[in-house]
Amino acid sequence: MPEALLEVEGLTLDYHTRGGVMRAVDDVGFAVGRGEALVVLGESGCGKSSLARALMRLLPRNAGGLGGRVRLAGRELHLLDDETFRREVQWQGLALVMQASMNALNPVVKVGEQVAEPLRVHLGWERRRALARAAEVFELVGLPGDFLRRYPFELSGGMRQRAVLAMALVAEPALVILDEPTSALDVLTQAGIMNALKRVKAELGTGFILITHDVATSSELADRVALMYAGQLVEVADAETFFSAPGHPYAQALMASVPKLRQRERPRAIPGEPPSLLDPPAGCRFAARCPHRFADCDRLPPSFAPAPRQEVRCWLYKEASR
Amino acid sequence: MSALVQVDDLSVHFEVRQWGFLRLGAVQAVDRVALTLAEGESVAIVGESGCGKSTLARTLLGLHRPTQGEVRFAGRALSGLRRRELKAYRASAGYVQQDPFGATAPFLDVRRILAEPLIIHGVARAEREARIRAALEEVHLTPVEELLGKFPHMLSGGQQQRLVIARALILGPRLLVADEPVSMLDASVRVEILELLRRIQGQRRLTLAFITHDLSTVRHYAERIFVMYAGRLVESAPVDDLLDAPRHPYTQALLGAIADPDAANAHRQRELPAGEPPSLLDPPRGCRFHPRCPHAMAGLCDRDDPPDFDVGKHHLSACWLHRE
Amino acid sequence: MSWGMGLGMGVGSAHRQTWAELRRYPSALAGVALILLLVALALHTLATVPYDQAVASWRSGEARLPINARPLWSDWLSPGRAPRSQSLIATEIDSEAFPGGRRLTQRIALDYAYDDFPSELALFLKPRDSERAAFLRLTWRTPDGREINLGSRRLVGETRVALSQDRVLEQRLGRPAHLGLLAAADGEAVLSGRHTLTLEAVFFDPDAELASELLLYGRVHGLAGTDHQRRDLGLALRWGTPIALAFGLVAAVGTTLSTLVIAAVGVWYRGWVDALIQRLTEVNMILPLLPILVMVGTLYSTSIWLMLGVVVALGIFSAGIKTYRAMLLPIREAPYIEAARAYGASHLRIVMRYMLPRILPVLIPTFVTLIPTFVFLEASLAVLGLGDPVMPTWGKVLNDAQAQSALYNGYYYWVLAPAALLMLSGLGFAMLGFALDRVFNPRLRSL
Repeated sequence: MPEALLEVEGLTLDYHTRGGVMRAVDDVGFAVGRGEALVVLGESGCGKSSLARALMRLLPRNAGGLGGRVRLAGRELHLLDDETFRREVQWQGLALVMQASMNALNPVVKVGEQVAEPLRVHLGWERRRALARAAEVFELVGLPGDFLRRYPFELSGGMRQRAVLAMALVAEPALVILDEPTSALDVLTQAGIMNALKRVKAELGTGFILITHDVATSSELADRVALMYAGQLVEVADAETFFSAPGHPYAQALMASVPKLRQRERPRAIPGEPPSLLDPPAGCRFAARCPHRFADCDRLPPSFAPAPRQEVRCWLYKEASR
Repeated sequence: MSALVQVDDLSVHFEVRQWGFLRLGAVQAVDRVALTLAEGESVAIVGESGCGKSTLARTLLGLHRPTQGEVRFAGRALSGLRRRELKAYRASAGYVQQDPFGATAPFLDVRRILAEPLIIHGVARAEREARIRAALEEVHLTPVEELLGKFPHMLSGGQQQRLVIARALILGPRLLVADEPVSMLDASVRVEILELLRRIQGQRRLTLAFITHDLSTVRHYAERIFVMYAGRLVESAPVDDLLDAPRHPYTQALLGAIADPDAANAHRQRELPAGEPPSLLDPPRGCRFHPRCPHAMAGLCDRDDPPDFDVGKHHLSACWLHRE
Repeated sequence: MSWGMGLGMGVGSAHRQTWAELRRYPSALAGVALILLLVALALHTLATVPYDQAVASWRSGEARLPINARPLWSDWLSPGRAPRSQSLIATEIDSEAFPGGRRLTQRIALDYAYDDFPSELALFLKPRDSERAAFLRLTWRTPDGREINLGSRRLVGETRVALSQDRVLEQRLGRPAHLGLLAAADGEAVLSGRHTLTLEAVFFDPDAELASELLLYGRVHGLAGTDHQRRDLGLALRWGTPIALAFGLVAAVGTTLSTLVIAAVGVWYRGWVDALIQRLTEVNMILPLLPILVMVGTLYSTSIWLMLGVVVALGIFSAGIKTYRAMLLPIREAPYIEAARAYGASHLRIVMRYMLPRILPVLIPTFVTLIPTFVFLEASLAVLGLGDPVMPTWGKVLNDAQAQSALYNGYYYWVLAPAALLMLSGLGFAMLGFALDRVFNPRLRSL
């Protein structure tokens, strides 16, 4: 395993809603190595976007009770105050590309200026130098250099998304969090952006956390996969293991539900719906939909390690080491 | 099998005007498309956003007027229908949209949402309730009693799409047009909805036109595929033929871009065509894919529209490569 | 299908919930209370004071009302007790027939106990069975025994003898009769005690009768006082309530509905229809409403209904169209609208039942806050002298007050009461409107 870049332990995030307190992120722990890509996979409402927000401290007003420990390159982020975090960690340590953030570009400022902004604001670079650096990053993500002088509306959706990606990369953060970066884009555009991400990862050695609901897309970047269900991580494994032999029954069901272009096997739906996070079951959260359910499932399973570098939160593996 | 829907040389262009009258040009959303859907057949129309597939779907439903050409339903041209006949046509063509969250009026409850089409088509009050219940049963929105009084926002995405399907079926259509019915749903729900559509299509012997951008969802849910690019139909074939042996360079590129879950994906760059789809305000001359095509032949592809070449059994491809 | 149904569909289901939410805002409850109060006042007025009576009384004033009397409650603000109006009927003490006529002697006793002089003295005389002119002599006797001759006069038919306006008498007394007759011989002070007025009438008809009444006009009257034309301000304020509410409501309904329908038509049909509506709106938006109303009022008529018509007509292509258009445009593109077209819903049905209910949440608060602006508009017109010539309204009261320099003359109540009513109605609708806005637009709640 490469040296750990980001370590997360016992991360929890609560929201205050009309129906009561909702634990969107429940005791989540994982590690991302330097230059490694971790995919957080999960369906809508499973808490994966909340996880990104919690890591970036971009919390909505009704959030409360953010807990746990986050270490980035040995630095204890959870001990920093918001101002220090914003000044020293954002952009340079952690950068975020949000869902549909291509539509969040300022329409009246040239793309190049916006991409260079983190350098000028956070690192105090002068304009010419920052723009030169932006041009380099543009090339890396597959945008022609003269696009620096264009306005966002002169770019297609895919190009804007690349520009946003360039903006996240420009200050050379150790880790970029991508929240559904391609979900609104077409197949070819999506594949192009995934190509760009692979290139960036190889050339800059940037670490990634890719948050997505799309199993196929997730395999385009993943070194490791963390599968989230109803606020909890149910399986964390290397991509090879996860895509070929997933351990958790939910992971197996999810893989079986994905229609595959090159296989004739018919996809199978997962019966039932995920539990409400307002009142989650006391035991395993997938138990109600699980084909392997047995008596132990009434208790919340801890993580077992049926294979090296694989952690599965399921009683089926209770014989395996913890 | 007899043809239920026949599309001849169909073009749908949208005029772009300033201040409501100054003509600036026309978006050629659908250009010279011809296809036939047999009674009881299920087809997929595939392409990227902006390729004209949704415009084609809406034109099939009579929501857009063709600029040129004709849509025939059971032998009758839609443009020749009188007002009352058009209304009757609307009962025989159901529509399922992409966004289940916006496809129902947020201030109406489930019962009322399903009652609206029945009211509009003059179904007697006494009969309505029974048909509403039957429709909910058919799409497995149960318990019916509990759901009737609910508002759309109280339903999950999958339930909302079932409701939309129930509404599309409640008038007993012969044609069902489903425009990206699952693209906004979660992976595990997608299959359920696709299976539901497949089952209903089989049971009712519906003609199903399934519009999607995602070729990976097509295999088990359609018999034939039509691939569109920049307003044109570029390839059509039975599902397995097209997925296993695509002939048009665009189809090949599209298939090449789609990933199946595989850890090896992360370690290879995908071969992709350069550039982006053309503007439909001013599409390129000749084959519309030629500026991006790796096989483009100068003096041919950039001059003349390729005709549909017969490249296999029921397999058509509009590409000059097949001219031998 | 009607607008009402569309509205009912949108509101009916959420109606109970809305009310429950609304109750969480004290300002909303206060607003509702104020509005209910005004409505109750309006209904009570309509039930108790007939329109014809109100108009007649407002046109000519009431002979028996004092001029510029203060409201009763002003008594609490100043020392002493201000004189109330007092009506005293004559008692007959002597009747003597003579050939071809009769002589009547009547006496009116006045026990005066106020610290201040009345505002006026007048004698109402109603002879009966008297064809020819009679002759009348009046004598005033003060408590301290002075006899003052009020002179003689001819009496033909029903007569009001305005003692206070008798110039001859005023010269003789050195001041108007209501001061001179009731004052002590030497000074300024009021002479309390029993004053007596003796009437001696000589009729040249043998059966003639005379009913006489002495009216001391008070210095206070009613809840609102009176104006310079012996008109009860209370009447104008009460009748002004239904007029103001009706004007505000009709104008608000008229402009909102027409604006909404036109905006919806433009959004639905788009193209040149929309463009035309937009251009008309823009032209109309730069036309100043008030000067146009002033022009219509000056050149044509100041009837309140005409003004209402002009306000609504100019309101049709008002800025509201832009607002509603902006709200309707995204709704028009909503998938459920397209779905409705696909299952055969008519244009009218789509606009009325699927599009308009979506903007009710914005429409209702706007509508409620719009009402008082029209109430104010009507008042402004009246203050500018373009009030309805016939009807009593709050604005007209203010206009009169201004014309009579009410504040300079110390008739503060004349301005205060109508201004307070205007403010209360504005406040009531505004408080309710703002609360409704918060209930319907959750985004505002946290602000």
